Amino acid sequence: MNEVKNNFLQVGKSKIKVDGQALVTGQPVFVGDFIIPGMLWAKVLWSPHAHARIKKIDTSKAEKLPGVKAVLTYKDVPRIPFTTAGQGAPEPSPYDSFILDNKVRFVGDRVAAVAAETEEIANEALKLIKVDYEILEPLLDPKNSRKKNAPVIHDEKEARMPLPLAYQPKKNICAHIDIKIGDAEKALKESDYVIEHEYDIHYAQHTPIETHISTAYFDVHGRMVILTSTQVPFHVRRIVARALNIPVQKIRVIKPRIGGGFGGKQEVLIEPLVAALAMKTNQAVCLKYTRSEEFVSSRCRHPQIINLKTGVKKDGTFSAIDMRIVQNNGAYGSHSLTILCNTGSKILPLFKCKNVIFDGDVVYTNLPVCGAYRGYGATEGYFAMGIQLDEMAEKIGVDIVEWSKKIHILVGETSPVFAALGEGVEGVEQSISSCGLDKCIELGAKEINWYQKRRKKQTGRFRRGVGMTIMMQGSSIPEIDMGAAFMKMNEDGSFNLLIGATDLGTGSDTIMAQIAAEVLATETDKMIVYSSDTDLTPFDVGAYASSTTYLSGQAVIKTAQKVKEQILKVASEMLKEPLENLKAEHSTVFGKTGKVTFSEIANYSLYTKHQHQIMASDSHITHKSPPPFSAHFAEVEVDTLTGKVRVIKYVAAVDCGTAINPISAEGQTEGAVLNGLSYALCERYIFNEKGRMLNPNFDNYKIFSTADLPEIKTILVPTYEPTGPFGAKSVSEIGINGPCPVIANAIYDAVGARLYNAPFTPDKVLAAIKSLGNKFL
Amino acid sequence: MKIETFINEEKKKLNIKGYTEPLLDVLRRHGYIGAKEGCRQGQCGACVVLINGLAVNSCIYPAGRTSGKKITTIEGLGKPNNLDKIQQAYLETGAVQCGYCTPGMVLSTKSLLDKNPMPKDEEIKLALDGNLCRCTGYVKIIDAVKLAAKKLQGKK
Amino acid sequence: MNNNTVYLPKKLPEALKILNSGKEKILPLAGGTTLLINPTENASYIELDGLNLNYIKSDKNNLSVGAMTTIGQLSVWPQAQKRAQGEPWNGLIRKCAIAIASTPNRNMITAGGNIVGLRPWSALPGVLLLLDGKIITAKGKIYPAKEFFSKLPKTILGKDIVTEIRIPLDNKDLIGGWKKFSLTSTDYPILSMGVLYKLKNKSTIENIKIVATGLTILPQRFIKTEKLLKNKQLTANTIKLLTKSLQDEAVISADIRVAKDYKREILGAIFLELINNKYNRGATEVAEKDKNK
Repeated sequence: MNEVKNNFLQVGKSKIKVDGQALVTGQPVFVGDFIIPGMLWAKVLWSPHAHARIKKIDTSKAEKLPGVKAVLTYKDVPRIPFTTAGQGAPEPSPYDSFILDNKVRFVGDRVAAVAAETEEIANEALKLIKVDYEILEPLLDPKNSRKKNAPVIHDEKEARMPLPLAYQPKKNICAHIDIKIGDAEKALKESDYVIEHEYDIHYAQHTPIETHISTAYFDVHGRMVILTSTQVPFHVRRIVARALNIPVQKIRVIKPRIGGGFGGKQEVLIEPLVAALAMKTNQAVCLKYTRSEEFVSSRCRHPQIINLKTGVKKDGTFSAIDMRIVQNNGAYGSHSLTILCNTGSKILPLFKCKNVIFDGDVVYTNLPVCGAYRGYGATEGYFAMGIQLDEMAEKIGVDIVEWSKKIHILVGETSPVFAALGEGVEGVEQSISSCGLDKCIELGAKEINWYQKRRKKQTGRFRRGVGMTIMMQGSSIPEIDMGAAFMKMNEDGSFNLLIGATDLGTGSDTIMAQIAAEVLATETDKMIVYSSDTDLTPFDVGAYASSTTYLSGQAVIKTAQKVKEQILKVASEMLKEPLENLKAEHSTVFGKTGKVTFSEIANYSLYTKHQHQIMASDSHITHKSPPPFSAHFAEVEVDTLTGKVRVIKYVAAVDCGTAINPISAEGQTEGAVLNGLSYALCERYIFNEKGRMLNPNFDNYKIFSTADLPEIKTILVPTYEPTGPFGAKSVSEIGINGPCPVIANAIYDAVGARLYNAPFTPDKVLAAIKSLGNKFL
Repeated sequence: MKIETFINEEKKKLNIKGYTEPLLDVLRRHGYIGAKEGCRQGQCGACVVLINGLAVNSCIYPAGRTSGKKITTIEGLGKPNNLDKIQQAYLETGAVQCGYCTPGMVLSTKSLLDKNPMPKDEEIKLALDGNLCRCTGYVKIIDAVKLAAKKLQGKK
Repeated sequence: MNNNTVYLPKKLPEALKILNSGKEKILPLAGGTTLLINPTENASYIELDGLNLNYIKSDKNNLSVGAMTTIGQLSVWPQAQKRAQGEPWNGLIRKCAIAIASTPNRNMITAGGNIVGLRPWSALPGVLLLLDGKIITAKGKIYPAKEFFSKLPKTILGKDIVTEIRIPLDNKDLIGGWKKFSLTSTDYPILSMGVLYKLKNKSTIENIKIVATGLTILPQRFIKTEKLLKNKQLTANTIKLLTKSLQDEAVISADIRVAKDYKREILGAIFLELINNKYNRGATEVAEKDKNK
């Protein structure tokens, strides 16, 4: 277990989740469990073509079908462009989406929507909608997007970028960034070794076990309430208001429990449509994605083509990085620039490399749309960098474990990349104030038995190898994102803690309760947490960018401190002692002469004298994004006759600062690692030549089950981040960045073949082994 | 169509739309909402319930066939503040994150432990191989099953 | 959706009568996994659950498996006690069953469904070819496995219902093996292979049967390769020859997941993994040349 000795009583303890009992007994807490009488069911007509204009659409037969209450096409909704990206306003993603449009841009794009009394009737109605398409030439290869005569995917006049950022839809470019630090061209020339490879990062889907689902209904005052499976309730409210041209005041968004998100629900994807149907019918409407719709018509990981050129000197100096990226956003530009920037900002600062060129274009294609996915660009970048580092170490003849310790940023150091690249535009300069990476490397190497297993000369059919890599992520988006909290005290010494922060299963409600309880010197189970309701809880950007602990946690601390001051003030009056004499411990305030319990204080404040409600609120923005650091190691066994790769053991050593809830931090790491492993070994989108996904189901889009589970060991390396709540940074994303490069490096150690694109399916690995020819012994 | 069955040891008359209506929909319509929809293809296990003690995917199980059979849903185990030992173990080991796969996972665990009180790791992995989870990476779930086994044997 | 008419016959003759009543589109409902994922519009079903076709019996001559026995039940047959006494065919049936899909799927998929339906997870046909099993029907027909799987079983079966699979036990001391090769553990096979063989002098294959499923919709025997291996030892040369022979004999259909050539390529490797533990995991030689790397 990773419990650490500290003086905290609530924080740093593996407290049981506050919503655990409800979840483990199957209480009705998910969107799909709320059935409103008379609720209608929505279904969407999807485009069968990758690129087409809707010349004519006839819904008359569908509308006449008994039980159908509404059929919407582009003619029935406001033509207001918006982005579905769940980001703070103004969003750094192009406004290139409409609720419904007269053009379709990928197989699975929206054509029309129906609301009917049952799902069956809605499905029948879809069949009755007649569409005349003018089929256009599809653009399916991102390498062709910018070519001169490429089909223009976003030729509508309304598409625009809400911020003054590069946006050239006529060239199918939805974002661009480039930075230069030092002189990489010169440094490459002066390097002893230059390594250059093209890496291909592939499509993937989050596959939350609960698909996208939203229900819109009207309360007794006629206000619209949207109950939705989202990571970004406040962004949902604002973007729905924009898309439908109604005031924010008219909308309430509630996130109940959700069945996983992983970034796929950091998107205002179906809420505007559901809201439009509700407004048209004046009834409650629910839209629930089927599993195949989740694969095709929700969001995916951004594929990238990374051309990575690096220079290294014989003495181990990492002299130059030249990283050029073509990022495929699919048919719409959600999260386009920010993911690309993150590929740079979460990777480049890790290394003591003074000469950097980072240049990327994000392009449109007529393929499924990409959005936020755990790792958010860092996963893509580490695939390339992690493999290249292994090759660089080999070239200069050093052990990658030892070399990793020498090339990474240290406490007190900064990187010009922090200021140059943010998540969008400019970044924020920062220096590192906590870093346990060396310890992560050391402990991880020991756990995997690195030196006994590395570079073993082998014969025989089954060969084993070990690989590793180092990585960092971030904690929150500084100066841009904000979170707030509100707290009030009740008679029995319990507290209501209302936070905007969004628990997607990560356990953030529990973490916030622990943090508040620690500040207040009371128990975690004295907190009644309610979150993510735009009417009742204060604002929070939502669950993304590994923010919740570092950003929202700090808002909770500030709020709890204010509440504590009020508690002490009342206690001072009750005990007739000055504040200096008082100390709060174990839900009691101790003075020199007496003591009062929190419950007594609360009763006094509510009923006895100078009656007032003990309550406070506060907001927080962060001023830096202190990176968590991690080192991952794996041992694999490769069957050299079939190419099948079996992971024997995986070790993830992570420095997340203080782990507010150690079991939770381990759980986040293990979940991220396993997701990364099946992404590395078997997850993939198979498209036909017309851009249709052929495997939108769990039959042929494979994720790991318990039967595929290797031995996974998580090591939490505690450090103390002075700017973080009780020393915490973040942990939820970083773990997914390891598996691809680590497994690739382990395969190389086992069989001597390098792979530059994943997934490492058996046929691919076998082909790589065979291409070694006589070099493979 | 009406059929008579046993749900959580209680005799129940269920209204079904047809013999082949998926059991998942019938259960949820009758208030047993613990079983979840995840794929409707028998691939993800979020809908798992037990029929005569064996785990099945209720999303592809014909409801009419449950006539006279014993169905166990998550509602038949514990309730908040009155959890059964398997549920308690799941909470203690951190095996519950978003909770969507949890009812199915817990029921598969029950099916295993009822037949095999001290399962080996490989047997646990096999018994749960039809319950997909995207949050936990399964590590703490395996821990939960082992802890539950100990609790049920009175050892913890 | 899913409101097809379902007949609930109480006895087998009644079921047969309904099937042959001349009505359009009547299908036997076995496990339900196929018919509920992809319901056939306007079809009626005949429920086979309740016709007492769920049993595993053995006398000294035959193993009889009722058509409604689930794969899950087969995956634990024989019971632990009997297994301790020595499994028939070295556990071939169990190894095949346990590789099919996942636990909750196995509790629904039936033996009959697995051999009639020929779904991506159909593996029992391969085992029946190895064991010279017989397929018994309600109309009293007895099909040898070789005949039953020579074409799509549905076309051979016609308006009949499979009631039992009967496997002779006279060769239960032969060594059986089954290997599913797939991307993940519960995945459909990229290909599966089964063997049934007898050794003499511990290292010579006296005779052997080889099948593969998942290459095409029908299971296939590798007769030529079997002949090649008769009375042979597994020398390097034999392995080369048998690998080529498997590749030459195999009939392979398109698969969106991997190229046909890849399936052809790995046949030999899968076979080797099945046949002889000496070639399996364990013997990785370790030689350290350069201690100062």
